[in-house]
Amino acid sequence: MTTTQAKNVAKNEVCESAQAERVFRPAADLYETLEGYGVVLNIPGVGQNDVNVTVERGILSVQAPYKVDVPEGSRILHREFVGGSFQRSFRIPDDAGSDAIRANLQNGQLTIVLPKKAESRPRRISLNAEGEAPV
Amino acid sequence: MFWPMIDVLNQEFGDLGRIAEELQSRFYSGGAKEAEPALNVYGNEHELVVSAELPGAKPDDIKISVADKVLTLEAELKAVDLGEEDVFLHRERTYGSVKRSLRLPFGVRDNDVKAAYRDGILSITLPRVEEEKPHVIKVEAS
Repeated sequence: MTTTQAKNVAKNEVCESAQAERVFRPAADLYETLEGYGVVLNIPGVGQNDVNVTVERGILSVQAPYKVDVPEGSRILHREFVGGSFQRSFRIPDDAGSDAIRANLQNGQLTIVLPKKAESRPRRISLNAEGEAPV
Repeated sequence: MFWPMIDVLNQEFGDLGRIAEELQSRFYSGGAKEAEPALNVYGNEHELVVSAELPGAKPDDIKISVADKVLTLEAELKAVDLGEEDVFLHRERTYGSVKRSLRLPFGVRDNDVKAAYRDGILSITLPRVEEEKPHVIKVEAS
């Protein structure tokens, strides 16, 4: 563990006494495609049924319990991840619709895809055949 | 603009806010910038359990070895595969190879080491070599 990590562990320990539950901000990647936007989040230890993805007033929110189980009959000898809950919010871009949002969780990696509104998606305009005047 | 909410908030606090955020990201993504997964170690007199956060790793991309009482785990974290016209707007997640080694406090039965991977958490169970277990010596009354 690096000094930085150690300091953060110390800092988190302090937070623990002040808060009932620690809230973690999962690392996220955001990307844009022609059809929409994507968010990829690291939420290790979270199962399919425990993740909560919501959309409200243009804000996409992800919430999940961050469970860290100590094996039965064992003591904690060293700890760098402590559990609590994952929480993060994103402002949905104006050109993305909030209806057809899809989410997929695999190996602790949550992917959320937000399709762009139909009018914001690129469209191919077909040309009229030569000599034919547009009506 | 598609952007994490906290970043918008932090702009008000200037660099201080950003430093805190940077440290947080490093820690929460498991020592991301150092490319070392975060580890938890549990144990009792019979075995040691080492857990590692490897979100996004596929089971086939994880390699575990034990040699000379040193446990080494390596994983390949694949970046999101984007098309040619797609762009990243913001990146925080670690990708590439991550590696971590741990000196074990006792010899382990190599053939009985078990590893399970679930929801991005790897758990390695390392049973202790029998003869190394402390045994109680009874004092006999003379």
